[in-house]
Amino acid sequence: MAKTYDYLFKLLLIGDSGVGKTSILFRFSEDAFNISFISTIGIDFKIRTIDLDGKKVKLQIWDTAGQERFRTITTAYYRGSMGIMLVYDVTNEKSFENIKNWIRNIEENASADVEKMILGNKCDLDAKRQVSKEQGEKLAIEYQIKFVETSAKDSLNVEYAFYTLARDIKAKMEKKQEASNPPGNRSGVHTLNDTDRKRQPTSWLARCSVL
Amino acid sequence: MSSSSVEDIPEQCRDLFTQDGVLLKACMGRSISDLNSIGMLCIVQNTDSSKCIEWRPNDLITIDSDTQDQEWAVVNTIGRRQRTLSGNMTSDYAAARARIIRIPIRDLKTFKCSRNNQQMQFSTKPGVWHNTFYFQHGNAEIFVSNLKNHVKTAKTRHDRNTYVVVEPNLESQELNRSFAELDIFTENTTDVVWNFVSNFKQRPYATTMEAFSKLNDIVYYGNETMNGKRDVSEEVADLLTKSMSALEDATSVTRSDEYEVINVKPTLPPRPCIPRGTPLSTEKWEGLHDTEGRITEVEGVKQLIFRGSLVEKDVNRTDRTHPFFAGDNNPNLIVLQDILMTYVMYNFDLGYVQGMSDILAPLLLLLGNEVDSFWCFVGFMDKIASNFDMDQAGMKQQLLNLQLLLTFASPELARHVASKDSGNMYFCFRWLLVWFKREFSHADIMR
Ligand SMILES: Nc1nc2c(ncn2[C@@H]2O[C@H](COP(=O)(O)OP(=O)(O)OP(=O)(O)O)[C@@H](O)[C@H]2O)c(=O)[nH]1
Ligand SMILES: [Mg+2]
Repeated sequence: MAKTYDYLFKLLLIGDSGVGKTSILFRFSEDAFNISFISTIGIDFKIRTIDLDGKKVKLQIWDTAGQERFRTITTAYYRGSMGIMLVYDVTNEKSFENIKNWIRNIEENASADVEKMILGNKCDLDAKRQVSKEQGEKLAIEYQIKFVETSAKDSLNVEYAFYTLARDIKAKMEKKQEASNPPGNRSGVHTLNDTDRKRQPTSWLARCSVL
Repeated sequence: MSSSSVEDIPEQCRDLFTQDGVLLKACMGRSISDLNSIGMLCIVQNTDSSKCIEWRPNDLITIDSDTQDQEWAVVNTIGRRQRTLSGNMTSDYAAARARIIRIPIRDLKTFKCSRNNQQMQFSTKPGVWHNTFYFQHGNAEIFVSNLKNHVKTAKTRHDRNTYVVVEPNLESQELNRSFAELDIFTENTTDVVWNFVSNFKQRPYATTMEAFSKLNDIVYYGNETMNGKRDVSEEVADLLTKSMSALEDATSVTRSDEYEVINVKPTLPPRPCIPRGTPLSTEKWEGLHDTEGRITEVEGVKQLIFRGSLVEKDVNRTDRTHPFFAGDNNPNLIVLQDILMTYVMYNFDLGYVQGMSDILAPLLLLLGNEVDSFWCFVGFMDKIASNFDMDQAGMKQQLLNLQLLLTFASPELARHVASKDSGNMYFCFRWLLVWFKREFSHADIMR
């Protein structure tokens, strides 16, 4: 039986309870949003196969519970993951401050070369905002991690975030695999849905390539 | 056979807390040769979930070197004692075992720290100190704070280092605990409270007036506790203790017309300024954890909890697709939240854990009223509280059992699961935690 994908990437979503991890994943896998989502108990996962520079990449995305009581369970999933999304809620300053703790958690439990990305979610709620975009960018630069503000509700930058993380993992993998071969074509296009492409902040793309 | 006899030590006890380097200084009914030996002081949970304080001489303790996995450490301690007992030890071992000292926690009446907090004494009968231990490493502080997780205590007023256990029976344990936590009464909480409550039910007016008049007496006629130097909470606590015990005296001989109406306005001491904070926000709540997610200031948190919490976040995410909980400003959500908040108060130690709202929602749906749902929830939580334990030991044990079961029922599947790095069975965590509530349709859950 032929494989239906070229690569399998295991990704992980972490962050405080209620920041919108499940909503982001639901947006990405189902392209939907549900205001009254159930809290995650333990762990959960979703799968979506994307096309990346002509390769079929199957993303197996693990969604974790934010509450600390479940942490012994959730940290068990750090080790096998190749990419981790750190999510905070722009309307909740504490969830932003906790990103540092989550990063430390990664350092203690995940493999050293895991790809990371910080997401500032719920950026549609501008009136309730407690964390500015600049604060997010500053933190990201400090830790040398890519950053983007997202909205699971408005489908803003969710696709972009997963594609970016997947592309980084692929690049790292190919670099390792084909150390002797000439570097692969990294400038290839990726599929963004219309909302994403339209609202993509251009300044972002610029910053991304710098980081 | 007495409960402290050595023979009936259950074979599968669990060490909840252990403190090494503890010297046995004195023990009633023990020969001198037993004294001054070093051992380990533990808090142990028996298979029937009763607990006891246990001291084991060092020559009995074997170190479990083959199980280093921290993750499963809690589970491993269950096995430790079994291994110890089944080891090839002979009469030496039996003799050593006979030296174990056990104090069932339900019998514990008082304990006391002295000598720079390095000495601890236990008593199961007023007026007699049965056991004296000396802490060689550090002091008794950690042991005491751990012990306080298992018994509710009050410090006696004349001696700050003596603790009185206030937890007479298991039925009212949780409720007493709630009262004790409130720290209103310094002594013998339950009797006073229940007397007050039952009197209040029977003779509300007289009881209230009595209480007030006694309070008034204390305030008006001045009192040795009102020297203004002690902090407010202490003053209030003492005031209440006094008025309550005075009340108890009065009511026990049923003198119902004992109060007097005082017309003179008493000069009250200046009213202490007590600033009130805003309700506990999610932000604050998350901020109370340290980096590893532990709550550092348990007492502070308990205070804050009465003013709102994570519960709210979850209530908005529980069974909202069901018509009973659907829609904005649905009054049933408020009931759901109220019950959970009451439960947090009712069972402080456990606190709120995600998943509880899932268990409560069908109960509320079925019973339709707050009081019945609450008690039903309490009963159900009693059954499954270990699922929500801080250390997740209950869940880990269940997952381990499940894995064993699978190995037996379908070795092939078990091998496959293990080969996929899932031998820990964590993928079944949710199934077990909320009893498959999330896996079936509403209709099936309600059956
Ligand atoms: N306005 C807005 N609300 C959002 C967004 N993302 C999530 N939410 C809401 O935030 C709440 C929590 O979202 P979840 O996705 O359940 O949060 P979580 O991080 O998975 O939480 P845990 O499972 O408890 O760790 C839900 O009520 C969502 O509807 C967003 O982008 N915008
Ligand atoms: Mg979730």
